Amino acid sequence: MVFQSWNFILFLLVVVVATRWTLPQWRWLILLIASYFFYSLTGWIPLLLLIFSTLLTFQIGKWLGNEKDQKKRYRILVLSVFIQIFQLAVFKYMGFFESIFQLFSSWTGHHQHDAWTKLILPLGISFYTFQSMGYVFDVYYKIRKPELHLGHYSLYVSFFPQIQSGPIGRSKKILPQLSSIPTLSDDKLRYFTMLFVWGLMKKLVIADRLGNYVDPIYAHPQGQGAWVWSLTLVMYTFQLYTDFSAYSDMARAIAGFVGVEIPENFMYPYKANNITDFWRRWHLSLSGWLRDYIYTPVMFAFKKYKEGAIVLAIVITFLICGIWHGPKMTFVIFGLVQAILLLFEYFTKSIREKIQSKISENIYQRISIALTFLVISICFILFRAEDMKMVSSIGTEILNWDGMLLKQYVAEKNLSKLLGIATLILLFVVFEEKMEQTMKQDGLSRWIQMLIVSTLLILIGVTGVLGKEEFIYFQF
Amino acid sequence: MSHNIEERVNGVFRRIFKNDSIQVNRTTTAQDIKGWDSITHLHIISGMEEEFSVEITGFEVMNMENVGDLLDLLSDKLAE
Amino acid sequence: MRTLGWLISTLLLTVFGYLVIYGLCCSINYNGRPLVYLWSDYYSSNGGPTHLKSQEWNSHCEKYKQWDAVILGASRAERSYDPQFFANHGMEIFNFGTSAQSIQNSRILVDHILTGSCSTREIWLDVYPASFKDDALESSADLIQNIGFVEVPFEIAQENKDFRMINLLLKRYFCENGEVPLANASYKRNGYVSVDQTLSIELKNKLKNFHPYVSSDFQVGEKSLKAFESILKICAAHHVKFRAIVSPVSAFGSQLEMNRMLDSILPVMEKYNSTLINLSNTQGIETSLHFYDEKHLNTNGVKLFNQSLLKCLTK
Repeated sequence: MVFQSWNFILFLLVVVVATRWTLPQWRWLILLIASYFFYSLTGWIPLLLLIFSTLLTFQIGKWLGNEKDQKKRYRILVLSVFIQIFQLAVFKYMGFFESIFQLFSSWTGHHQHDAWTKLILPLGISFYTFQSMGYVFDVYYKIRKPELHLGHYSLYVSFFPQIQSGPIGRSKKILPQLSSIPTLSDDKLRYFTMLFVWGLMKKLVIADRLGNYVDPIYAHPQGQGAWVWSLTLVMYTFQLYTDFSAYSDMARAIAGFVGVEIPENFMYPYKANNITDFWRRWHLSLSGWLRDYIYTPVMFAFKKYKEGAIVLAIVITFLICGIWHGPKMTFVIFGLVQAILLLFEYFTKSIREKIQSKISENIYQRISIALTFLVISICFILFRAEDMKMVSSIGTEILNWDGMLLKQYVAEKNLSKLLGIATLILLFVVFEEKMEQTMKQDGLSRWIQMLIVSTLLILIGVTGVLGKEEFIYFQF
Repeated sequence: MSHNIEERVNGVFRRIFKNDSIQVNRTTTAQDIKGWDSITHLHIISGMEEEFSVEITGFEVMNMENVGDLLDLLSDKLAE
Repeated sequence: MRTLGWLISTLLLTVFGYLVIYGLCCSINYNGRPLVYLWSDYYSSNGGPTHLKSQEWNSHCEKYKQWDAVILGASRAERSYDPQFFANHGMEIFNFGTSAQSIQNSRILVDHILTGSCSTREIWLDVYPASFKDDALESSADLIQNIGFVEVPFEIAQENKDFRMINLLLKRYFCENGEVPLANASYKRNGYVSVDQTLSIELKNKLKNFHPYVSSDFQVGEKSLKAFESILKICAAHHVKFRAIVSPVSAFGSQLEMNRMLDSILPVMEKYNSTLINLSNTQGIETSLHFYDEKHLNTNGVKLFNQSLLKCLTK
């Protein structure tokens, strides 16, 4: 059930009203029932798997808390991680087998794989597995004590605003909130309303609109030429960002409506001035998770190798980052390319600083931001393309700078529509940060808040691409 | 004794950040010093190990939140 | 309480602002069309066969009239049943096929036709897989914009629970109230639209090398199947005979999809004792001669098909 459907909004209203009528220390129960109900809509088997994962990590946490012997604790940790990775691998790779099965069934004309799809790819499994695994790590590293309340813990793993696509929450931030969930203050309600509508606008007005231009090109990668591909790459970069950050904002707003604060997921990633910076601004809940539980431990485990430790940590982290997105070669290579870029930046740091000192700060920054954006847009080919074959055919297209193809494209898509898209992106880039900061201001006048919500809603209704019901990140 | 540790720790920070005006205290965290990223963190920890001739494990690094935690860890190690 | 007030005022401001902004956007013309077309392509233009046929229907029904049959369905219905031919054989029929008519929308139309001031002995529904897809947008846009029954646009909007319906209603009632372009050469009488051409050269070439696709992900939609059953129910309640008809299918049509549709609807029809007339392979009809595109019969094709249909009916 997507957030922008009538059914979801009805569901949310019921949950909000129900939590308001309950005592703060019992609200977790309402939210847990709501979360399990919400998740059960995707099927019973995924729900059972979720409950299994919850019970497993809850128990592991307790064991880790009771065990004093560091070696045994380490073994428990390894066991837990192994089971969870195994579970993730089975279910993600089963999807891979299923695609072969689908191909086969399409030849024979059979048509019975719907039940398979539902059974095989439990929604949000990558997200909740990481969330619960993060908790196990936290207990192992004694960052927090084991959670003793199964109810609170189950809600932490299954919380409905997060379960479909994150943000991946951290036990230290979220679990303490669940024992007594505060009533939503009026200020917060208005803030979260704005945030929700803001997310909705990003999704329906920008992301889905861009999708209408990006999808057909990716569906027919050949014969488009470099100009059209350049436009498409830029559009996809914005589509992916607005789509996922829209989802994240809406998830945060929904969690806020029921009294729980979950982390922000983005920090204006396209204002990053290098790839290292980009990963500090993009999908923060995942990159932060990887940093704390993969990168840092690996780096310190091998710290006697000095730079070798850094190289190893970066490569392992980004390989995992790639594979986390799915069992596809494109994601693996995406991760590797990121690792290479980060290592390049690490080893050229002093050279770049020298160059920086010779050019005016302003110009250097601008060039850096533009270059970073360019590199990221190109990397996202790996993110969007179906397979490596498609990547290479896009690669050959990039060599064909035939102006006629661009002319054809403009004629087909209508110049005024394309200019409209360009204006839309430009307005978004200029006003995004300002808008988000304004919404966050304490004591922002209620009239202005009203104006913001109404304006965004009107914009959505009049110009939005209505009727699509899918977020890009649901596939992961 | 602890005052002494604090000064030596500060010395390591100044050396690594190549900045003599840095003054850390118990509540200083990575957010407070520009350029304190994960790689610098590695250099800081290695720097501490050299300075105090101790070994800091990855496990110990993981639950370090601020400079105070680092100081406590170091004084524990030196007392052993 | 104050927050509730804030929410309600925000909502009111939104509705008010919405009407103003939408009104502006659809009254400003750009490239000869209201500005809203610039960013949304789901609107249907004003006028056309749906408009004409509901006008004609309303003028027939100003005084009581009993039809022998009213035909519903998508463009294949609209272009395959010639009322003149049936009139020559003593049957008064009206063709209420409209472009891309979905089964859900057929249900709404049946409801209106049977409770209105005209009556009919029979309802013929031209069934074809595409109408059972649960995607009613194109059809809804056309009907909301052009149908001459007052309540129908609102019922369609209500049925769909899709925000675009609100825009479609606003467009119909807030803009383009001016002159309706009525001229339409292919519109005949009683709702029939006919086309004389045969297949284009491209399609003829395509036909030569054509291998029918075996694979298809078409499934009969749940909502459509429900709507189909409720059409049968409504007809039974009004003691109107219901017939489902499959009109001739060209060589381009998918047998697999057709079978899936029939597998879904036949059990329902059995329940209501209604019969299916399957003329998908009418003798003598050939794709290259009797169709003008991949889906639709041309005038000659319609003649042959209507003769066979009449034979079936009189049997």
